[in-house]
Amino acid sequence: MNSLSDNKNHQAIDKILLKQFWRKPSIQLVIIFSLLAIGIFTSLSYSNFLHLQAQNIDKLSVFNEILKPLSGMVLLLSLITGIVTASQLLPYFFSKGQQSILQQMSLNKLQFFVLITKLNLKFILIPFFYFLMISLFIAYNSDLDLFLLLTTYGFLLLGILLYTLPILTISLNSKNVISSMLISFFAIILMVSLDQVFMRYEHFNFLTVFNKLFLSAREGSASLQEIAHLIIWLLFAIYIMFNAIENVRNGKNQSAIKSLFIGLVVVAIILKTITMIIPDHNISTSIISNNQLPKYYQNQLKNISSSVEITAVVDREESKDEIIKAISRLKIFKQDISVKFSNRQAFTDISKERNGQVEEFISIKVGNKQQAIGYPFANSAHISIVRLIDHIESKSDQWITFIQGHDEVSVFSKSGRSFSKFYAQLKSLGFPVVEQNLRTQKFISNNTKLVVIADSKQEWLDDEVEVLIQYLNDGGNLLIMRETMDKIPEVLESYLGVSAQEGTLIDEKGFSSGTPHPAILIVNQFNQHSINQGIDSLLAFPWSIGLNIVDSTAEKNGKQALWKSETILTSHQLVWNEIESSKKASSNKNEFIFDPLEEKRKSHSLLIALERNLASANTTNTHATQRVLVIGDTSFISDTAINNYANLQLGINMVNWLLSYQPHSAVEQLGNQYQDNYIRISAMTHFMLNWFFTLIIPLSLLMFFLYRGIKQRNWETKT
Amino acid sequence: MNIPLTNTSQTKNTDALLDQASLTIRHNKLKTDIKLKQERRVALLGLNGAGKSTFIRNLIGESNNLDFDLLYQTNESFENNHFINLKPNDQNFKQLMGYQADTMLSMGQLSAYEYLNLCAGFKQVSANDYNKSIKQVIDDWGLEKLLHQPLQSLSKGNMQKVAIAQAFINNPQFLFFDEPCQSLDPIEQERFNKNILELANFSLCLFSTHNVNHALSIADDILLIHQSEIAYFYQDKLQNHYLLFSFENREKISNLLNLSSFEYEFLENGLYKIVSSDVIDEFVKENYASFEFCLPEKEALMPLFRLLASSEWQPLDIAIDRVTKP
Repeated sequence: MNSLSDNKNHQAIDKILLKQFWRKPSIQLVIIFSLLAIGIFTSLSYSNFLHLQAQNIDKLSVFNEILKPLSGMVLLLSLITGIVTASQLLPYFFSKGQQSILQQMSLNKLQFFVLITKLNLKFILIPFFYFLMISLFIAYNSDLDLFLLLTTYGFLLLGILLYTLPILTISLNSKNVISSMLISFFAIILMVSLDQVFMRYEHFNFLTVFNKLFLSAREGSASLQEIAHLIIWLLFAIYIMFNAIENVRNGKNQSAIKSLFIGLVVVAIILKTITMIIPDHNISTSIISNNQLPKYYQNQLKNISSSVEITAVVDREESKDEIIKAISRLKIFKQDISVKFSNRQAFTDISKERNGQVEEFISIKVGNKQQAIGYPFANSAHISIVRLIDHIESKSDQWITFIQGHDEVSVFSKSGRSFSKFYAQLKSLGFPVVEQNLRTQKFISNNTKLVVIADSKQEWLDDEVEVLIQYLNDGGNLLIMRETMDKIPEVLESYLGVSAQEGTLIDEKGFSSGTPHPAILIVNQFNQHSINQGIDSLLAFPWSIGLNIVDSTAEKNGKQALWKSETILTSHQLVWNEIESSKKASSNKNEFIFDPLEEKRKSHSLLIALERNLASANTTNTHATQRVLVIGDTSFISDTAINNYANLQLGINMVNWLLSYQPHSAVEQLGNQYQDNYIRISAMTHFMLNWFFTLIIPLSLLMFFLYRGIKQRNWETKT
Repeated sequence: MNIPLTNTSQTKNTDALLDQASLTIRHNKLKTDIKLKQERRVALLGLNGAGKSTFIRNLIGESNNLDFDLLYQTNESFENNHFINLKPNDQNFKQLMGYQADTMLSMGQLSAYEYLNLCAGFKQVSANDYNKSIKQVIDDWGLEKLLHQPLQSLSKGNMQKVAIAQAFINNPQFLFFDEPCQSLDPIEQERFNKNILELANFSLCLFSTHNVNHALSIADDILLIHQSEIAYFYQDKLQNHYLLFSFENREKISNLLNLSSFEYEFLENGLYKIVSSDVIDEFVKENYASFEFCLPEKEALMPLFRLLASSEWQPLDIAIDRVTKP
């Protein structure tokens, strides 16, 4: 048989079956349905994206918002199309008693495999090509990561092929159309469900077929092991299909199940071997930083020598998916990160009670150091996890000392004024926290990296002040949280050059917007300082005071470098400092009246950061940069207010900054912005995404099919 | 002659008289070979549910559920004596085979011409012969008027005609038909008989039918199938009235025919036959009122059918049995 006749035969079969397929109402319907579904989904995602784009939302990405979910949908629609088309080939032949023409078939197994796979793929790939058209149009109107788009196409095609082969195999073993469709449908559900199950259990991870790889590839990374696994599964699918073709020719249906099970066992052994042989190395499927990790974290991860073990205690399956995806992105830069999911009982010491319910959390162990972080994360999952890993790795005995002895707020008590929730959060982030009374212990130890003074209500003794000033002279970091009528030593105020204004800040604008009291100051404007990073809602400060920057006396001692001060948070212009009512213990919310003679209505400073470089100064301590924060409120972080808006995030950010924990903040900031965070809006874009792909193409096709159907009916009637 | 029943192999056969196309059926339990030769038309007869279609499906390799070993032999080319042994599953056998199943229904909106093209495509007809081969069957089977009609609009008989015609595409050496004449009108039945009789002299044709007259009129050999087993093989049809039996069954035969003794002679295939046709005639007369058929072969076949239908005899009672050869 020469290749010329092979070609002619293939063309004849292809042409006739294609014609036959195009005439099938079931295939016409499923194609129109697929195109409509893709078009409508695109239109809705596009509208939603425009809405988010108008709000200038951070971390907005066309790929993530539109194309990523659309690619998953395209895979699903391709499979549905495949189930319908596959059922129209062999099962249809059988249902019409035409299997005898297959018995006379001279095609060898490979030729037959190519013939039916090619024929089916011509229909199965229609949703994919529609997706291709839409995505290329969007790429033209945005700044997509084309490499990521390309790899998504590649993996999508692989996935379609991988799932198509079992569908075709089932169709080869089915004797009628309905059973072929039903069995294929349930088989695909089973495959996908098993994949989900295997994804969640570490010991069965090596059995995952495609979902995990597809999820992580779209996030920007793909594991070499999983790619190798996919190839093995593809080969297995081809082997099973070849077996099925042999069965069609020879009628040996009974051996199919046996060879399937034996094959599965062999595949499982091969996969396990691959897992042991091929390093768990992730490759990037994205060229630019979109969906990737900021450079700083990439380097930090690469430099960690110990293995990282992550244990997640989360409830929902989506949460598990999010964590798995995040880990796969981190694995590009550090291979030995393992993740497992556990129950709360195993982590009673880490679990935190909140309103009587145990929270979800992620526990991370780097070498022999272990800490936990609450879930859901404030930032994206991979950033949150890598930050904690970085934190665990970089910190060493960074004690935080809360000063006691002047009726300061306690971190350990459970009263409403206390910081117990903030303490739990600090502990989960790995900071060791102590309370210290300077009257009984008249020195601050060397391993104290931060001293916190939270609302001192009693006078300080001179020797206490002396100890504190010495600590500052040695380069220690300090956080002062002030309140109205608190008793901060004047020496300290003048040393730092930050003093408190008289009076409580009154925010009537906030009150009219819905706060329960005018003395609750709402801040919603944030500058680019790293302390404000990740704060995406409001901050609420109850009974706060304004701060002033004055001349510092620290430099006058001759040895110290200059403080560089910066105001981090300010109130809006309409806030004034209410002096009269603030002197009363409890003020009625209607008693606040602005007095222009005594009080000032202006933008008051609320959080001031001081920083100085001690590297050049003549000092014995090892701190390179000394940092001090003064904030005009204490209760914003107390147990009663910490969960208001982004107060907790601010508290954590302040501590992180004081401990110089985020020198990379600028890089991270850039990482939060995607280059494809816009779609070029034009009449053409609107028309194409709202009408052309959604309605015009599917309806045109429908009209064409109707026309063909009527023509066909007329022909049949005539003949 | 015993042909080694091995997998596909090429053997240099020195027997110059061997047929170019043959089928050897070896019954595994009985260790018996039946050889169907080229230029033979073999009719497959049997009661309803006897397993004729199953038997054919086994012969072509669609099923593999009967206890037979099958070996097809064909000449590699007509110029030499190089024979190829083929099993039903071999791809080479598929190239040499044409088959019409009794279940073939119309396929949607395909026209008869498209259908024939599809069949030619699957049969991998060579590029040079492609159109010629299709035209040949159109002419042979009188399909011109049906060509551009959708199959689903064809009558059952016309669909049957198209189904038979497709089996002839590419001049196959081995032809199998399952109930080919069941929906054909007398003219088309005659056309079928004519086309079968004018088959190329290197072909072997096997067809099943319920019509004994039809079988006897065009078949050279007759295979009688019962319970999916070969119950009887009439080679060169029947020349006389006789019944075959194995040695062990002689008493059973004697009791059935109500005879104390009867004359019989040994046949080469391990069977004995009753010499006197009077014995059978007598038996038939006593047991059955009348006969509708006049051919002598028919008279021999009908009692067999009736015996099989009465379930008094099992296939093994009359089957060729070399193991029990005295």
